[in-house]
Amino acid sequence: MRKRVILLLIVCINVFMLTGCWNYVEINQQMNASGIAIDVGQQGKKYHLSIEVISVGMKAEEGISANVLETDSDTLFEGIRDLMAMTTKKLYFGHCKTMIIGEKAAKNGIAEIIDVTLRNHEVRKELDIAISKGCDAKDILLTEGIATPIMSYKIYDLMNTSVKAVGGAPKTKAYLIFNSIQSEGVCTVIPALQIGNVQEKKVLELAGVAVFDNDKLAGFLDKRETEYLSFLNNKIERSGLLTVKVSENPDLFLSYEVYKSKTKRDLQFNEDVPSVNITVNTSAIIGEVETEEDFSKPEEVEKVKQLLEKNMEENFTKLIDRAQTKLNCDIFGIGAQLQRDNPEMWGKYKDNWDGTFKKVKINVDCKVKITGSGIENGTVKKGQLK
Amino acid sequence: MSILKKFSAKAQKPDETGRLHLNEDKLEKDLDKNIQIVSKVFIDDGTLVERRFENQNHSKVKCCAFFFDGMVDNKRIDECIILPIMESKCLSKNDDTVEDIMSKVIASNDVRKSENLDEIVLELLHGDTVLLIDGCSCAILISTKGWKSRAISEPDSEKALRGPREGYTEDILTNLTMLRRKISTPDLKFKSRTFGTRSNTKACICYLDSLVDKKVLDELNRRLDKIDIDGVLDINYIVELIKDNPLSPFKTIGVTERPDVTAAKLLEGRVAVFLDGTPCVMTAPFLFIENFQAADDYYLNFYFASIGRSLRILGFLMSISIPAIYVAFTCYHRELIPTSLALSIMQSHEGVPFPTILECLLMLIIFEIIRETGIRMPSSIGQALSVVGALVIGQAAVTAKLISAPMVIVVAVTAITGLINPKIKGATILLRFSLLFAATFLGLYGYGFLMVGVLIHLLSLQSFGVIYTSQMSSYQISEIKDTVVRAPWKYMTTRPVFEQRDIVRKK
Repeated sequence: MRKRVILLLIVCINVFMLTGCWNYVEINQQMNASGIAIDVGQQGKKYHLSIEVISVGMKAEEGISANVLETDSDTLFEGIRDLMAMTTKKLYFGHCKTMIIGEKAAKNGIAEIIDVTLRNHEVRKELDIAISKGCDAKDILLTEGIATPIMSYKIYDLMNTSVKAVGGAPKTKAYLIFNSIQSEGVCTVIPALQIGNVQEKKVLELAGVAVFDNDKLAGFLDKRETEYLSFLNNKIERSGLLTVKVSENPDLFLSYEVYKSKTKRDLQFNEDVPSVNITVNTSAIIGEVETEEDFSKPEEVEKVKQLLEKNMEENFTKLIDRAQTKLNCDIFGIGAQLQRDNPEMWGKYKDNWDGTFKKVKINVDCKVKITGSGIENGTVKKGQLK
Repeated sequence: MSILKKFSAKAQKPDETGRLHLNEDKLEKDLDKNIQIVSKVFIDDGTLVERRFENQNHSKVKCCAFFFDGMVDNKRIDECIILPIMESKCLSKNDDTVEDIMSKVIASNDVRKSENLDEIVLELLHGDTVLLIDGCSCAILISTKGWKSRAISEPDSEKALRGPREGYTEDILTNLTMLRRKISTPDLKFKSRTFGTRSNTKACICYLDSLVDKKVLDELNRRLDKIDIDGVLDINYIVELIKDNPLSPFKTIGVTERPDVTAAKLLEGRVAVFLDGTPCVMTAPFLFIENFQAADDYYLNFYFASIGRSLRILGFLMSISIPAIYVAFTCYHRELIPTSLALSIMQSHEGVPFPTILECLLMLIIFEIIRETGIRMPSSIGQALSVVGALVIGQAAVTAKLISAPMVIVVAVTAITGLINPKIKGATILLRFSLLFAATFLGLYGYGFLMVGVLIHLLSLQSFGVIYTSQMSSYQISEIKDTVVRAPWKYMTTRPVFEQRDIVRKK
């Protein structure tokens, strides 16, 4: 019995003393990185790495502030190690929420960059990734925040909440982008950010999406194009926006809010010329009216509806044309859908999908249902009230 | 855990003198000799009163009454024993004197005859009056017990919002009466016995004969028979000596101060043991869920009772877990804290000189000290304690950057939730510190490992052959009717499962 007790004690002591405190780090012994920006390096180095770190003041009044650390390196891992030499505390990536890749760096390929983020155990797989448009990624971290001093968290909010208010946006999480790059027959799209001016201040704004050919940047779509892309990919969210020019008068517009939308895509690959029939079924609510329609009359609504359908189809065709001729990227994931629906057929087209995609005939049929006109029936009839 | 055995000194041969049942003398016919015999037993005892008297008509009828001053009702001795014998006209000195005195003279409801000196001594010690009569080799024992006892009041440790407000007192007879008034049936058995080789404390085993599991009763008696201790001042002496798994922090025998609780437990087929001199009564078998049951769970609306019950269970889990989880989160799993919270924790931790674990230990120990002080100190200086506790330890320590503000919140929540279940207090404190250490060394893994260990221990416990976690660990809904929620009385048709006989509680 005594032997057993002594043995047990030795085991316990070993377990606790030899292992030490496994991973014990005091919460204030580390420096939280909130965001990463990656650009093409200077002086022949491959990357220019900027990391936004949060500094916490001793007293509550000092508050929380953010600083950006920068370095040039050949690999990102090396860069992070270099930056740790600059800080007194260990850099911790558990609360890192965004990664911005510069336009130029994105043109060289993003696969290796995302690989680092997925390989490191500290970085979350749900890291939000964005591409900077027309500026360096570093500049985005250096713009002035309006509500929070930490820019990376502002970008996180922008991409996760604000995006919904302006219609669909592609998924931005690192692991989803990684999956998308790896899969065949679909081009990756990542949200793009740019710096705009508001009252002579540099302010961050969403700028549609960046389109990738494999992992290399091929071009950008603007905000409206992004919305139409979401329509075609059946990913438009509630409260997406449609704006229509009323044909007779070029200055008058109608705005609609998307209430519900469903897109069906029918692939016809048996014929000589492969074709795709896309049907978009949308319910919309009138959001803003500049004309003088009376929406209590069915014929007036019908007129607006046709206008809307025509307008949408035109925009869809434009987007498809741009994807097929200029970008030459299957942003609609038609290849991926073919792979799912008809794997044998995909085998035939697989090797030359880029060439085939150009030739695929894409027809869009739009059906709009106007479900409401807001909480107002008519419109303001200037000076006509009897 | 043989280490604990070191607390006990090497066995020595017990010295039997001073124990009862050693009187070899026998009563004789001569009164003077008998008086000597009794006086010899209580030599050097100033409280023993020896009162000689004789009958007015037949002066040969000589008597002597022995009793202990203070333990008897003096008025009864005067009026019911001494006066009638003195004035009696029917007495004469013959062989029937004793019978005559018992049946015709003494006006008392409890009169016995005894020749056994041991019994005489014991009854004398328990407050009876011993009457010796000249020419008779036996004594008459007359019940004249009468001493001051505390009034019946609501027990402080088990207050109830509704329901009976009475609690046990230190007098076993009063206590048994209270129980008898709750359950009026001949089925309720009271088996008397004594504990303590020197204290000779009266005890009583109570149960409902038709409900009790005979195996439990036999096992209880077997364990009680093994007790050989000089004195028992509280029921806890017995509880610790007979409980299953004596070193476990969890209680496997219940203790209550409320007669209604005892009655309810007896009606579920349990056994109760009363002990003289203490208002605490033990009940067995005791299940884990009973730690969280309160008397007014059954007296209040079942919705309200169920909320209270689930809060108590949640409180127990919170109280043992919160410090451990806080340390694990802040020191190992920082990514699990929401970012804004992590930042504010960082901010309040900036400049604090101690590591989180030390901070946590310090605060928890200080709280335990305050709690213990609160029990021990005179109630008149309670205000000083709360001022020092709240201001100095709470606010000033944070302002002085000795501890971080979230830690004060953590300890406060831990402390409050720890007080919600007074019945399981010991286990809560022990588990809280063990989990804290496990989490400090291994983070959430350590916490998880130890929790699994505790669960294995809990599941392996038994109380008098009944599985400790039964009811709680059952898949059958009819068996968990009185666990996390308390089912309406309408649907509690059966007694708890451990009870084997007559399981139907209501139709």
